[in-house]
This record gives sequence, C-alpha cells and structure tokens, in this order.
Amino acid sequence: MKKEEIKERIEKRKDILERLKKILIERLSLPLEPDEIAEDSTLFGLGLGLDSVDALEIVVGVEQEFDISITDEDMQVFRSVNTIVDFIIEKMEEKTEESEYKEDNHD
Amino acid sequence: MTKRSILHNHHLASGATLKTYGEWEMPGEYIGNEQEYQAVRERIGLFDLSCITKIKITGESSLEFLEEVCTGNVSAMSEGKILNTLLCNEEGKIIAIIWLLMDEECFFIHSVAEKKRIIWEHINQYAQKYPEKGIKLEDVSESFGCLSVIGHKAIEIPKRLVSEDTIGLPYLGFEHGKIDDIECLLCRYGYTGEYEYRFIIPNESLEKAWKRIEETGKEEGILKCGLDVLDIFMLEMKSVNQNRDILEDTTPLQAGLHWMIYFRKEAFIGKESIFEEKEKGIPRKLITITLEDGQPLKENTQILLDSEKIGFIIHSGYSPTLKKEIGMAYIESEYAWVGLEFEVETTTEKMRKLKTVSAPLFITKTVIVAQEG
Repeated sequence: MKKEEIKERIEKRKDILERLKKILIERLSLPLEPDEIAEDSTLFGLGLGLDSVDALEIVVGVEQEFDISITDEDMQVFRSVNTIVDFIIEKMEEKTEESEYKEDNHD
Repeated sequence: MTKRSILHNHHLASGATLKTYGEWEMPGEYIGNEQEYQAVRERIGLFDLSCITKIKITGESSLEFLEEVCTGNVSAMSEGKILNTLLCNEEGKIIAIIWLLMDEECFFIHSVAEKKRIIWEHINQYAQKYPEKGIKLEDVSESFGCLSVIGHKAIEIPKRLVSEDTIGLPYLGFEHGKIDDIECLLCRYGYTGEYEYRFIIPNESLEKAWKRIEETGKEEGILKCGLDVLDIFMLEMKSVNQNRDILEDTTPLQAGLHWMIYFRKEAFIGKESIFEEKEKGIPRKLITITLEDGQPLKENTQILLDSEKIGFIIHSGYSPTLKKEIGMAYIESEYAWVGLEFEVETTTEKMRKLKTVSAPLFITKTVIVAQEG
C-alpha cells in the first residue's frame, strides 16, 4: 500500500470515527471527551460498559448520521468502536458503488 | 524459592507440562494448546490459577487510599463489585493491570503472578507515605488457591455446585458461597470473551474442590488446561497481556486502556502525566494485526512504510478460529489506524505484509448468546 493511499484511508476513517464518538458521547451522555475513548474499546462488559438499551440508541444515531440502515443481523458488528467504523465504511462504499452503477446504467 | 500450587502433584501425575510464571511453577499445557483452545471456545476449560496475585487491603480509609492509587472510579464501587483498573506511577507509566474487588470489610487486588512484587512495593510505598490512613496490606497469594472454569458452558459449574442463583451473578461481580462444605469466593471476571468463573478457595480445600469441579463438568466435556492457552484468547479479544504487551515506559493511552481510567476524578497517581500526554499527543499506539501468509512473526520484528521503520511487533500467536497468525504491534500514532497494510522486515528477499485490524477479532458464541438473551 502506497503512502498516499494510506493517508487517504486514514483521513476517511478519522472523519467517521470522530462522528461516531460524537454520537456515543451525546446520545449516551458519556462523561468523556472524544480523545478519552480508545478505538478498540469494547461496547459491552469491559470497555465502555454499555447495555442493550444503549446499543439501540447507537443504532438510531448511526442510521441518522450516516444515512444507512442496520438490521438485526448486523448487530454482531457492535463489538467495539472500531468494528462499528468498519461497518459504516463498508456500508458507505456499497452505497457509492450502487449509485455509480445506477448512473452508468442511466447513461 | 519456586512456589507451587497445592495441586502440583496432581498436575504432574496428570501429565501436565510445567512452566514458570513469576515465582510459580504451574501447568503450561495439559494435552496440547489446540485441544485446550477448542475446549474453552466450545465447552469448558478448567484452570488452576492459584499463582495469581491476591492482596488483601484493610483499614478505615482503604477506599480513599485506593481511589488515589488506582486510575479507575473506586468511589463508584459497591460491595460485591469488581473493577478492572490500573496502577500507574507518577510519570503515568503502567505499573500493573489489576482487578479490584470490594468486599464487606476489605478490598482485594487480583493480578497476574508476575506482577506481585511490583504491585506490593508500589501500594506499600503509598501506604507507608500516609501512615495516618492506617492501611494494612496482607499478601494472601499463598493461603488461597484459585480455580477457574472458562468457556461457553462454564456457567453450568457454579450453577450446579454453588447455587442455581449464581446464574444471576453479573460480569464484574463476586459473592461468597460454598462448594459442598467448602467456603469460596465466586468471582465472575476475565478477558477471554467467554463465561469465566474463578473460585477463590483456602488451600486446604483446593484439591477437594478441583475434584468436585471435574466431576460436575464431566457431562459438559470439561478439560483440564494449562496457562499458556490463555494468551491466544487474550490476543483474539485484544485483552492486553501485561507481561508481554506492556513495556516499562508504556502509558495507558498508548496501550488503548483509556476505559480503565476515570478521567473526571480529582486526583490519582499519574493523572498529570496522563493528561499531559493526552494534550501533547500519543507517540505510538498498540494495534491488532494479522498476517495472511501463515508464517509466525517474531517479537520486535520491525514494521516498515517506504523502508522507514514505523513500529514493531510486540507479541503474536496463531488463532485457531481465524486460522491465521495474529498479533499486537506498537505503531507510530500517525499510522496506527485500522484497515492499512504495511511491510514487515524480513531476513529473506520475500516481502511479507501485515494488516492492521479492528478488535475484538470476532464475536464468541458466549457473547452472541448473552446479547440475544
């Protein structure tokens, strides 16, 4: 992987991570600053110590902020902050591909 | 002098391979890591963890004292609760990762065997510094054994042996109970992604309790396991192994242990330094990596970007679930992000690549059931 591609990926991830941390802090009223949440912090048990009600709150927040839908099957990605970011990136890439496909077929 | 568990002769007779953990000689492996791994991920593994550090803390001001010594929110604890937290020095470097248990009239610190001396010296130094607090420390590591059942079906053991009600014991909770007439402290904590129950038992009753657990777990396919296999569970879950992943100068923020700190606390040892690092920026971060080529990685292997060193491997192992080599690396913060590929230094011409990945690496059956439940 070239340095330029690495930097591009980092910027994309950084943006999503910051938005996700904001959702977590605001929606769950966590007494934390964004830089006080480690990216691999688990959501339940150790780590952030959240519960299933918090999980639903995150789902709604992520769906609204990133304009993606989350199904029950997707809940397995809710392991840590980083695994949610992976999921959001994947969904956003799928959306981009879909719209590119539609545009191509329209032309 | 080497310390041994009360079950030492039993381990030897059962064919366990012994290894040294701190001052202790304990089973490293029983019948092999692969089978022991499967037992835990699918059924139940039985471990003799008698070597763990166990320190009892008493004194009227012990809560206040521990609030200052630990980085976590000790004041928010209540009786029967466990806090996973850190001891740091004034420079904000990690001394040890501990489990703090709050009992009716005392606290207990549990940690790995290898950290006993440093934990004792660290807290004793502060207990001596403030004699007015009347803190009394007692090392009970050798008076009590610790038996642990870990696995997808581990909950069956305390349920059948102690009480049906133990099903309600929350994670990071503990209670006093009995296995037949044997008094025990039943603790629910761990870092494997599976159910884990630890029985703290007086040494004189340890053998009897071990046998009862073995008998009770037979139906569920319980397997005696050595301590070595625990390392791979920790790697898969990115549970920091303090013997391997924490260097002398590692800080909580570098190790990604932010959640073990209560940042809003007025004061704790190391707070100023930790906040200073937070403001200035963290120089490196601990990140999970995978290697696709099936070859093991050596510790301290350099990680390269355009031939420049940007990090090093601290610890690695083979994940039977993922069927690949996984590990932890310290990478310069600028590049310590998930979803990237870097080269690793090799002695041959063949290029090797690693990927930085999110952790935990997968979700265990136990967690799926718990989330659905």
